[in-house]
Amino acid sequence: MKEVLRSFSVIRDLDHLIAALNAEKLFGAITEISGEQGFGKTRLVVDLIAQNSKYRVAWIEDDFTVYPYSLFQSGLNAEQVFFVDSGDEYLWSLFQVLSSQLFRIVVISISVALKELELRRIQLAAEKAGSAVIVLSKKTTRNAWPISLQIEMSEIGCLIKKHKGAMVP
Amino acid sequence: MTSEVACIFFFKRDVKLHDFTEACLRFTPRVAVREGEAIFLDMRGCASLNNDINLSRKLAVLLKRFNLNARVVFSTDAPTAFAKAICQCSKEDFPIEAINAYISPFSVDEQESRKISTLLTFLSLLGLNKLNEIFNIDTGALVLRFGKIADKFVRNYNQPKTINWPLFKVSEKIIEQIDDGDSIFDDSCLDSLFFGLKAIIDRAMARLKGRGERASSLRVELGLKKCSSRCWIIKLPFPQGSAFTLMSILRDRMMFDLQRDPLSAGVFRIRVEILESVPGFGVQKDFFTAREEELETWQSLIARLSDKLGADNVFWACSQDRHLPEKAWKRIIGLNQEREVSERFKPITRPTRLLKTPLPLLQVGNRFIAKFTNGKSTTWVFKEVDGPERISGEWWQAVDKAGIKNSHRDYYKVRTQDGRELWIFCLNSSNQSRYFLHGYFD
Repeated sequence: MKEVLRSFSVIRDLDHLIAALNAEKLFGAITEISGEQGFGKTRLVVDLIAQNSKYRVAWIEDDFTVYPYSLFQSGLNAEQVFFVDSGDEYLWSLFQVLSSQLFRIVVISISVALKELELRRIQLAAEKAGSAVIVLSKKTTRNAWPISLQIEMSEIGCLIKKHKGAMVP
Repeated sequence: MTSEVACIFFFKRDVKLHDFTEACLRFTPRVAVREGEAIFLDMRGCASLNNDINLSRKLAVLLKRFNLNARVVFSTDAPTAFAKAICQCSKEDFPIEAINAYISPFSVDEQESRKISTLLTFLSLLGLNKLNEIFNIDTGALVLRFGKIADKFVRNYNQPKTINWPLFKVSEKIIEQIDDGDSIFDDSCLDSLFFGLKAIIDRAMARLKGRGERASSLRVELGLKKCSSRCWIIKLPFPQGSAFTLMSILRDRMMFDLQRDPLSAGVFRIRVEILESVPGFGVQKDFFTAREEELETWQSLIARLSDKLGADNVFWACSQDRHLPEKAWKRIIGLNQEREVSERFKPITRPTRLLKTPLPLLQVGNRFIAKFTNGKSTTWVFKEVDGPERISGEWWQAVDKAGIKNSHRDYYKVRTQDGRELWIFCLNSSNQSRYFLHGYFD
């Protein structure tokens, strides 16, 4: 994966990125995928989950717009994904889900930026639960040291903004 | 080693033992109470579940939960266990006073007590100090002299296992409370309040477990100093048998209310009443899988999330055979609902994001202008268009204002100049075409 990330600062081929994203390395850490609606961040997560079909997934949304039918079209199992329409209680819901330790992958899609302190709390909870927390947001969080991997989706493709332990060219 | 009868002998006299006895039903279905003094557990049918050491440890925990002090003694029969608990010696060394335990181990009858004391006086005049010395004299003569009471003793001593155990009736309602004349919990410190509440919930859940039930709704009442009270009625989405899970639900609910509307005075009483319960026997752990534990964790998680967010907002999803995109899936609420999953997916890829309400678009040349509900507007210049895919509206539905539900929709996958992929549909009427944004290929 490091090699892939080193060689591609902008990845146009999402399949290439998904193949490079080894889910094992995402566990116990936060991954942020940011970008405006329509650039393909949800598709990236769905394909990643479809490749790891043995894991149970919790999908939390503050404004529920994800379309489960499309998720099933992509090969996700109906029993694999547990949805939470959290409204403003997205952080509370996330901690409840993480503390249950029932899910290996937790996706949280929110319209507001998370603060540094909140991210640190999430990082600790993810580490304790051994779960991969994937945050879908509109804008990339700045100075977010608790996040391990930051991917920005834009019109030019997929940009790796940060990856702990790997040099980003 | 497993004895046949356990006797729990209480140091403090005249304690109310009914609630604790209910909790003891978890160990054996056959229990008996000697009012204010002792509880007997018949372990004959449950020998493989608990040995003496195990049972005494479990009882110690339960006694602590109910704030009681007692001595647990094991023996082969109820009167011997009771006599052992009082005298703290072996059967051979029982003093003559232990006759009381053999004549009526499960009840205290004043008339009988008077007769026993007369019998004891007589036996001590004969110079008898130990119970087994009675059988050195002619018991037939003893029965003739003292009648029924002596006969009962001789019979019970020789065949203690034949004594009938009285029936124990569980109470109709489970009510637990802490009540003190003075303020026991400061209104400014909620932690101490929840600490007190936990003790009550622990006891209520222990009683429920003994009865083989789980709580499905309960009422929590805080008595305040100024002759007022605060009350919460909590209906649980899944019946709960664990105090830990129930406490976390109660804490969340009460904290939320108390932060918005704090208590007006100190609390002098906490009362918990189980309003509804359902049968729910504990399941034994499977040695090879953690299925039961996992199920409990699932129930606990869903209960907490449903309580806070609403039952409809915590769900699984499954597809269904409907043409309209917004109706092509449905929410599955609860753990045990059957999922009729439709595997017949449309051949055309659907967007990953679907708006709850389609957003009207204004088409100007090769541009779409969208006005969002927050007042902001965006312009998309479209580059490529795939479609149309016609999806028929449900004509049998009531006509809505925009005519979206009933009309035929022509869907287009639109690629914009900035690289986005939108899902737009067009409603064609006789005069004009109206465009709506329905989703994103995000």
